[in-house]
Amino acid sequence: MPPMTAPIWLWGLLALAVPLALHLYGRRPGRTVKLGTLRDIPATRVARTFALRVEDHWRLLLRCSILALVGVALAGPLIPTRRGTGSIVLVSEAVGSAPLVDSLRGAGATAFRLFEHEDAWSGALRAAEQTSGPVHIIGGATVGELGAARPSLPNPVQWHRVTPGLAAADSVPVQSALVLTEPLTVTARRRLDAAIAAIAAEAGLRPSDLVVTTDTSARAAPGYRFTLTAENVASADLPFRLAESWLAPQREQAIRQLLVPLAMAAPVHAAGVAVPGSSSSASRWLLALAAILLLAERAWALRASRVAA
Amino acid sequence: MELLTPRLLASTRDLALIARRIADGVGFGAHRSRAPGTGLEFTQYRPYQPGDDLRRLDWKLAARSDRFFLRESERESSVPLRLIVDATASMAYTEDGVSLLAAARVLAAGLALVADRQGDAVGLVTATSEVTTLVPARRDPRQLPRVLHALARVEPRGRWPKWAELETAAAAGGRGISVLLTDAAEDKDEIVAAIRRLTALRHEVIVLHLAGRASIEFPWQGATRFEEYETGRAVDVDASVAREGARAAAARRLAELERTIRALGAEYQRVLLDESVEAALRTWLRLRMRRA
Repeated sequence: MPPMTAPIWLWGLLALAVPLALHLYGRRPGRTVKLGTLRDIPATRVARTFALRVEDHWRLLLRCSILALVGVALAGPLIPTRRGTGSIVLVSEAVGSAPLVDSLRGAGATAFRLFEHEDAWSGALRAAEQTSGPVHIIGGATVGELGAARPSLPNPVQWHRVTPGLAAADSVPVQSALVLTEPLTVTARRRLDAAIAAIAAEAGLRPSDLVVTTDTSARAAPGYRFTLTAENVASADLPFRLAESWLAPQREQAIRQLLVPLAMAAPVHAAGVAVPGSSSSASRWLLALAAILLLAERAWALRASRVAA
Repeated sequence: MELLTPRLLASTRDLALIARRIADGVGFGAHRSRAPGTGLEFTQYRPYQPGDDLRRLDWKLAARSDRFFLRESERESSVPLRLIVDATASMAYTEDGVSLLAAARVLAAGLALVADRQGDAVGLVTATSEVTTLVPARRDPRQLPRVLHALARVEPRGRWPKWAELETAAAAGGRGISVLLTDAAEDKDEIVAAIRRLTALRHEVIVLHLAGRASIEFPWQGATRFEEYETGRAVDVDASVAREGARAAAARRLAELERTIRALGAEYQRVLLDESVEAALRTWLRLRMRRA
């Protein structure tokens, strides 16, 4: 039995009792009428006996398997085919955690970044599909990172809460900031420029204080680094987020939070790519199969009722 | 006046009461046929019994001798009434709390009373697996209570008896009017065969066919199991789908039955549980007057 992410749904398999009960008790007609003679009742095709036919057993099996597939799909099984045993580090985007990540990396973990609007738990689910080793989630102070409901994972999950690197930021002058980005499209670049110009204007910085570069060798430069990817530049609320941080009461702290060093000492697995694989792929296959079987069952029922009618 | 339906009449268990209600309600008296110019031809005297028609009392004799006798004229020869009540299991069919047998009971009781008032001998045969008969050798004043009592006791049971068992009961008592109260729910035309035999015995036969409206109109809906009383056979049917066919089949069968029975020379009258019993009684009356 593969590990399940939401084993509580397995209780849904109790619903299998419903088609079984209908099967066993449904064959009895509701009411018995006694008559003096049955001669008037047409005995041809309309007089259909309600006794169990062999066909009915197959239909029961079909219906039960549909319900079972749905129940198991909802429970979210993790198919252990492609799983490794290494540990995985998931890093939430706007968090400074270089030392921690580096140390975990040194211990043999692979680091991935979470998708921009992805909550930590979905990321952890996908990580669990990749490996059976421990999953480290490095997250910031935002509650939104937690996501909706904690899935039950077979892997040990460790959560490292890291506040945006204020301490590290203290020693670095705010005015200098380096924005690293991968090559952007024209529109994306324009957006970025607009956002930076707006921030610079508000912060009283000169635009030249915020350097935008695609030169990855600049990573080694001191100061704040804020690495942008094509994805998060293209995101609709980049300016909003930038401005949001900007609108925080303490401007300085806001800027620091904004320009927190992402701190991946080495390039990310693939820039902008978070944990590969789609979430709950096994569930999706099971649901697809259940849908196909449901269509087949309905077609069968339709054909059977047409024959009888 | 309320319609004298079997449903209404079966609401009390006092058969004598019901019988009187029927007799009075339909307005029976002693209907004498009078050929013009003959008047009452005196044939014999009969002692007065309570309940007899006082118009036939010989008042002069009563005034003379304080003895009460009825005048019976030749024309009022007694026509024995033989009531054959189908008491097979299918007569237990009930609609609105009234069973076919209850309807048969009230009809038979009414007929018995009226016939008795006419001065006819009344006999009762209950046709079920064990045939019982009460046929008087002659007209007996205690016959009527016996008949009513037996009617009250009869229960629906068993199948239609073989003719051999009915024969003795049917043949005894002389030629008269045989009234068969049945639902004609037969397996292999045994009831029609019995009617044929009865007519062959030169009886005047009236078949009062009792039926429930539902068995003709088939009002049931949905998945239903229909079970036969006598054989226990059952069939599961979607009643809504089967309705058209069932109605048509029932109408055909009843028409066929009526044709067959009339072709045999018997009278046929269908009595539904929610219809007045008047028609049934008038059929008998008509026949009785013809014989009188």
